[in-house]
Amino acid sequence: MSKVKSAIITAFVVIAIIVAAVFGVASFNVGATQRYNSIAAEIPLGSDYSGYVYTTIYPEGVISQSDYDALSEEDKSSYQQHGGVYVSVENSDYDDIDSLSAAVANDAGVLSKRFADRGLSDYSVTVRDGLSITAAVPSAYSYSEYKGNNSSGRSDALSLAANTLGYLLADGELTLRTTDTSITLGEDDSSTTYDTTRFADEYTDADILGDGSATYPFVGASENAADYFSSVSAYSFGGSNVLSFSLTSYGRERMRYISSIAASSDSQVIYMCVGDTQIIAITCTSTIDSDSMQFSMNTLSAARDAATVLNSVVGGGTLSAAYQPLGSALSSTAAGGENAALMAFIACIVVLAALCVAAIIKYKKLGGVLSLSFIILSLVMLYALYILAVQTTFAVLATCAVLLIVFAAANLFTLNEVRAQCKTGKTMQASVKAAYKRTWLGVLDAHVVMLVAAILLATVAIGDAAACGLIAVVGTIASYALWWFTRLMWHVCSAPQRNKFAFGGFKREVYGDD
Amino acid sequence: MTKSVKLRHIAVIVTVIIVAIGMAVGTICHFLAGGFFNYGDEFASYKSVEVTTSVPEDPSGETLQTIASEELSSLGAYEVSFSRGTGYVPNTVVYKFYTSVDDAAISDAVSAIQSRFSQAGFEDSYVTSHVNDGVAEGVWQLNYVAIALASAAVFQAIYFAIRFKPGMALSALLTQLAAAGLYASLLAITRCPVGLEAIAFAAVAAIIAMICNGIFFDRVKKSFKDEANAKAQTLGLVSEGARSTFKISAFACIAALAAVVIFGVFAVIASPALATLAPFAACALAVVACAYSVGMFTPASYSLVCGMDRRAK
Repeated sequence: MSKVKSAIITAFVVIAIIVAAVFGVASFNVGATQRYNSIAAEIPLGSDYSGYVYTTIYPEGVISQSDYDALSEEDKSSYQQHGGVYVSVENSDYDDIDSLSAAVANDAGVLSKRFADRGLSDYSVTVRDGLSITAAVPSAYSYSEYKGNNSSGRSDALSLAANTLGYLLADGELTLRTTDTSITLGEDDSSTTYDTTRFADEYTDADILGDGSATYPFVGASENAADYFSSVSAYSFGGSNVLSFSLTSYGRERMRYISSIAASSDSQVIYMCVGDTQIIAITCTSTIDSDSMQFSMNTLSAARDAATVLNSVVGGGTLSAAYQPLGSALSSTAAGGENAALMAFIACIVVLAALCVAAIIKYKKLGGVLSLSFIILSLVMLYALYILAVQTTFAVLATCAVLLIVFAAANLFTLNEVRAQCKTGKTMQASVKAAYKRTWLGVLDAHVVMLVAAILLATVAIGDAAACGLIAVVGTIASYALWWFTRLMWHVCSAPQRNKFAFGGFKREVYGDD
Repeated sequence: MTKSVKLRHIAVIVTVIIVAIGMAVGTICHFLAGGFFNYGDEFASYKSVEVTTSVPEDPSGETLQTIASEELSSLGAYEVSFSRGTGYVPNTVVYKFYTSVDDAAISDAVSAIQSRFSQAGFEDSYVTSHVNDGVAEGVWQLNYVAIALASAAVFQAIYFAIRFKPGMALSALLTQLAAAGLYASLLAITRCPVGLEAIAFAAVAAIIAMICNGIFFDRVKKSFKDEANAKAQTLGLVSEGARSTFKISAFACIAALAAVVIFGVFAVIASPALATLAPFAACALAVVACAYSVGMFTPASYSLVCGMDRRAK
């Protein structure tokens, strides 16, 4: 390869890396009012770096210290202190504190499973003082949102997290509801017309729509709407966020009937609710007659929240106690401190720099080529974290660091072989060719096994481990591709060099005349 | 002959002993200390003190943090979190303590905070202590990760059986088992808090072990195929493979450990709280378990497998 070709290719690669790196890590103002936030600053942060959004739910008959202090002296007399909360058995649905406590503990287990199914990078569900439940999910805002450099701001991310809590903590049965009191059920139902007095029970008390209007269930008291569905899932397709229902044969029949009367009603809307929480409003302009139903939702997060809570209820995961309306969700600082994310980012840079310096010290100019590959791999993982919207926790960063090290180890394996080949008296070109030939299958084996392990983790595991698996899939593929790229760049960069051995700090065995 | 091959029986016995000690400690702790592992607050019980001030009385929450810190920091909270209030939502600071912290000390601190709020004229401020119980059902997440890792290990074994030899596949499988067993035992023995991230580190360790095993067996297989080694002893070739790949395994594990230390140092700079270090400790244990497994256990176990099968070469 000529010097000119080598210089052009090297310059092209270096410029591409610099551009990707600048957009990846540098945030800057554009003009007087606009700001570009780097890819690193836009990555959603997990609980390690953004803290939690949390709330506490109290069953009927249990109140917090502040609510207790707000009561009149007469009302206070029916409550007794239990740890940090106050309980009134007569105001609860249970005969004694022990049975209420048992119901709360059981509900915490149900909620814990819901949160795990939601696929969050982290969460916690704890029973507080035996009589209330505190649930927390990661705040998941990005660094730019945290610093106020993003137009949506931190509040949007916190609202999403609070909405997740609102959906997942929904208590009660699944109901399909309407605001119309004029709907006639027809002859195939035992009742004739839904009247407001028959269903003037706990459901009509709730202000589900938030505007004060009452809603009434389509489903008779003897029926369970959860029996209509076999499963609910959420996915994103072509920019739409879809909530998909699989119906049972009985459910299909009932939905055909309910949707037909909803379509002929004034509002044409079916409100799908879990207890007092509205999950989705389905507008029916015609009869639904299919084994599955798909509806669009505003965000993928909302679709996943809805799918999780509906799946839980369909699978029998309803809460046994009745809980008071959800209070305010609080957002806490990260356990690692306000600067945890910034420090973790600096640590990533230090790890990368350490690898590059070590490579340059050991392999001279070839170390520079290796450093290029290290930086590219880091950028690939950075962009992947952003595109895949992986919530970044320490475990995810540790996985990225390990992938970088694994890539370095694969190269070390090959370069050791090159060194061994050089000692046999071969030319540099022949040594490189022989070394890559001898090691590529071993490197391929390791990467294939790692890739399958990563895919299994990403698909089977949940939480942090699944996030690690997802980034490991990208990192493993990139690592193998870059292993070959390193060889290409070695060839390109060493082309103008007279002493090819000195380029990589290798020594050739020199034989005597005899 | 390398030490791992020369001392192959001892390497395997040491692994078994460490795992046995870990299992014993875990089992005893299961009955006496509330769990096989020292579960993090995702799963375990803890005590907490929650202190709130209203936004009109304490706009920035600075007074709240100062008073809470002065009265509670001496009790050794393992985690402190603050949430700034807005409008009707009060400023809140939560101190989390291990269950071993004395109830009377917490109660005294709560009373002291209450009286200081009274002195400061804060009428809408509250301080409450709570006992929080982790939900055991959360632990079932472990099962999913275990299934994923077990499936990956089985796939690795099948792949190695096809690409290399059944003995190597068996050895790779044993290595993954040893790494998982050692990691679990070290967590049980050290009582390092086990949170969700500790589960993820098991996956990280498994990935390092996989690439190191892949490189080691590739080298050993090439040695077996090399006609120049036709008369060489099998153990000698395994030993040579271990020696030539030791640098790579050592580099991977030491670099991973160094990366954990770097992350840990910067985390301590961000916050010197005790809880900050727990994930790094768990991660370091995962790397140590992995390092021992690939550095000592793999060559040792494969030497033993070769010893059982005279036709291994």
